[in-house]
Amino acid sequence: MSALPAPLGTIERGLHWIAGLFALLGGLALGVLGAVTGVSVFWRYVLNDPIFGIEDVSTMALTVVVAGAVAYGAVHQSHVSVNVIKYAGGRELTRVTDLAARLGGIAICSFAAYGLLTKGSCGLPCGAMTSNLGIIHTPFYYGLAAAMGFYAALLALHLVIGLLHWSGADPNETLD
Amino acid sequence: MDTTTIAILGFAALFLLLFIRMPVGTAMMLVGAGGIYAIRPQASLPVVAGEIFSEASNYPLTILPLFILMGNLAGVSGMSRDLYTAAHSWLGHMRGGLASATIVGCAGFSALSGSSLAAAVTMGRVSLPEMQRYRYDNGLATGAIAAGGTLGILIPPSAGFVVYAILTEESVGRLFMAGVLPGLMLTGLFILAIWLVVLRDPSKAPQSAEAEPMEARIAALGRASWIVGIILLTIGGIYTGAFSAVEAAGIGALLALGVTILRGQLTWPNLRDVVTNTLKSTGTVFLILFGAFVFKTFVGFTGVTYALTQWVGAQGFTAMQVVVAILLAFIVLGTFLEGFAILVLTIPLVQPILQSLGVDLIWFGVLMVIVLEMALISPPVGINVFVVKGIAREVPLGTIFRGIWPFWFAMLAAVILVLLIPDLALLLPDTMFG
Repeated sequence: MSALPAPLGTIERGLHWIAGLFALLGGLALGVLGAVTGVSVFWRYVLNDPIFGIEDVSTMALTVVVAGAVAYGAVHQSHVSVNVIKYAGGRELTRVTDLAARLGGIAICSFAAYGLLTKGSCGLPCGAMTSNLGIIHTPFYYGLAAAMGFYAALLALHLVIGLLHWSGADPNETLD
Repeated sequence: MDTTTIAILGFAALFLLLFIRMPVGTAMMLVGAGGIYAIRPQASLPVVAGEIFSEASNYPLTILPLFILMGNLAGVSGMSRDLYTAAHSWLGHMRGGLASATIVGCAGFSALSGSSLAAAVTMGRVSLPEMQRYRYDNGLATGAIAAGGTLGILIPPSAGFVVYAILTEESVGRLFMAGVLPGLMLTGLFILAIWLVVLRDPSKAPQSAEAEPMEARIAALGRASWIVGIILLTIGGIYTGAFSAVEAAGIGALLALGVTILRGQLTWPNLRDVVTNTLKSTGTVFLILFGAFVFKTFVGFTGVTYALTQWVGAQGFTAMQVVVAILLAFIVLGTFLEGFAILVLTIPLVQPILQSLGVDLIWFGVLMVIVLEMALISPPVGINVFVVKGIAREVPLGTIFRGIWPFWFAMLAAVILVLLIPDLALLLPDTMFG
């Protein structure tokens, strides 16, 4: 984490704390996913008694893993970008292009979060549930919306930090 | 504005966004959402939300986090080191043997992890100090690690195959099986490349390790039996039809966890590293998939693939000519685009053309993945090269890029062989699935 003015530093610490929470939930869901897969194989092949609807549990656990992974990956800059612009220009160019890229990122992540909230809120009346166990999709839509919203918030913070470091090195610049 | 113009503008916008370092996933999602809005405004929001949820809850994609978890557990449990030690024990005394052992180690690790980066980092940390101790040329040593790591996306389980399968709606199991023989062949070609380099210039590998007695070799092989057993069970289980690919991933991850516990390596710091690394890699792939599917829907809305298919048909090109042209285009794209980006960007365009020409998409998937491997080490953006640079900080980037060329040509040879002999890719899946 970079040394930032008090309000931004607090926001950055807060976002890292939330990312840790996403990682915790994602990690727990990862454990559930592994255990459920193992249990289903054991029941199917050893006990010869497939568990009805266990795929529903797996797929919903996967959404939690993915939400945690996308949010946690964002904090650690794991989302792949193509860094060829460094061959075209220095910081004078990248401070402008990074600003544009972050604005675009904020727009689409906010749009996706809003879309997930809207679509997810419909729930049962829209038939949004798993096919076997009837698990309602709504909370999982909300989890993904939270991840995308988190990513948008992080990009907004990086945008402000980038503006504050306009004349110097940006601590959140994409590196190889 | 007609839909073809919107498609062209969409692709131009996408390349611009990628150029300004917008992450691949968000760039594709932005262009896809914007493009859909331009064609059918009311569809944009539901498509974005629907595609994100569909991919995040796509059952076959549970393979990804589970296989990534298995690879990370293999790293912390010491199984990957055992593999390198065994390869070192059997090959280290030969000329260029340490580089060959690195390739074999990477191939073995690739059979446990779908990530080329993980293979390069894990084996690089173990093998580079050893090669430097025996005064191997830095270019050969780092080139072997960077190239060996690329086997991660060819030898099953492969994240590249999973993403390709989801995009093309092909069977993950068939693709995994199709990657086995080409993966082994490429491993052999890499070793041949090392042998030729050292034959031409013996100073590149001036010393060899002492030949170990047979008991020591067998003991090393015995220590590697855990990892070999897990590989045989998971890949063999898929081949024999005992497990689905998802089940194999779950069993593999649980077995790797069991070995980690048995070896007393499931400490809190290790567990935290394994989980966070798995989440980071999973997040990387899924964000790209979100963007890819929104973009694919946009491309579908434009109807540009239909126009392209008609055009290709009207020119009277043969399937082979089209496949070769596409692969050449991928090789060029690979010099400035990341492998996954090429995969998700181009599949929506080329798939309908290939299908109209009757090209086997399993065979093409193998060819494509080998070409993507070439992208992973092609200058100037070969991501594996930068990963190896992270391990070998004192080695100049130029030296690493010079060192990868023999391996790059080995990959080209593999592409040509699979092009000429499709059975190299299709034999195992056809034997298994009919």
